[in-house]
Amino acid sequence: MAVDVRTVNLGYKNILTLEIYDSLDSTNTFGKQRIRAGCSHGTVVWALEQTAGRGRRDRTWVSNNTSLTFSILWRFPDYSKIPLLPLTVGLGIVQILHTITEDVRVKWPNDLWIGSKKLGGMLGESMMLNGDLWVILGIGINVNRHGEGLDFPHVSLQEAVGERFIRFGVLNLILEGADRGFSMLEEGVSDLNERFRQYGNFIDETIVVIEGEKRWEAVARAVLPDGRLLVESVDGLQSVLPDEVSVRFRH
Amino acid sequence: MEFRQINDLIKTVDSTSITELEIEKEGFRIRVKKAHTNSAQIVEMENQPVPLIEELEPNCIEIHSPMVGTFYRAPAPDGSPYIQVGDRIEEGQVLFIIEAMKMMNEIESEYNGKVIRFLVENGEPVEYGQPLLVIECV
Repeated sequence: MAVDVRTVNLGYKNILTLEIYDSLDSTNTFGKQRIRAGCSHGTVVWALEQTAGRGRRDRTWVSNNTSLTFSILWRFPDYSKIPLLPLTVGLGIVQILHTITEDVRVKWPNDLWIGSKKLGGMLGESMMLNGDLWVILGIGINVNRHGEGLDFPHVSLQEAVGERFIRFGVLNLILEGADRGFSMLEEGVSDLNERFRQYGNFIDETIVVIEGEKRWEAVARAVLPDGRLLVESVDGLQSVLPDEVSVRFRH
Repeated sequence: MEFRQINDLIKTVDSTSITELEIEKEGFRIRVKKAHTNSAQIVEMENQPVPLIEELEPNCIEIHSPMVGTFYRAPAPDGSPYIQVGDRIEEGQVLFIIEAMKMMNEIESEYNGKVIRFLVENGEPVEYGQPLLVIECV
């Protein structure tokens, strides 16, 4: 468990303090402990090594010195804006990663992909503490990984661009993007669909929608203001939620 | 507003139960109204039996969903549920998770009490304000 902690003050609007730990089991689980211990809004918990990272519904997310795994801790006034947070943060991060490569896209709703391979993902959680609502947004990005041991197609920044990156530099870039994503949400995002057209990878493409055992083809038409994806299939237009379906490229 | 955005807007309105939508932004105003109403559907709805309002037992209250999402009783698919019927619960204790846009939201109890019954199944989609659970306050 965390022993050696270094703290860095960051100058962003809603990302203020970076805590660096040598090794943590899961930055999200540890982030919840930091919230209970009274950390402030805009704290980031970064583990140089994560030994038992969690993905959605407890899928594991392994990480070592070739990837970045950290959690951002934010306090919110209520639940109303929380569902859109992973989308706007994903958009903010992709926007800034375009300074490295414009091949990075947001795969709806909040994964980061290059082509049809996963570069990174998020696990967002919320909890209440003494009447305050806190979000723990865990983010994982493959930086210099030559991947093995993952059961889905994945890619790292190094593989995509052909050079090694210093993790701390990439982290700073991503935190700036995440901060922009938070501001986007705070100011009220009125052009979610336009932003997904610019930084997403599915709009007007034919995709496969996976709904439990069912699979069907559709064309992604738009991201609706509440974050749902509008798809057009032989049955017409309908909107889908990421809790109910997952989407893939057809090829 | 571009033609494509207007087109998107019309498609969006058409795919939902919204019948009329008006947007005003930077000196531009658009109103989209559906041309047809489905009168057959309205008649059918009127003929449906009115659901009986179930009265709650004394000292019991319903816990409502704070958002649209999916209801989960456990932190992981094969994990054990946060609470079971008959359990004593305390203020601040996690009762269940609502997943919304892939965010997993732990919902805590605001009361001390006892779990009487669940009103939804694990994994079921829930609406904003939908009653999910009945607890008896102590």
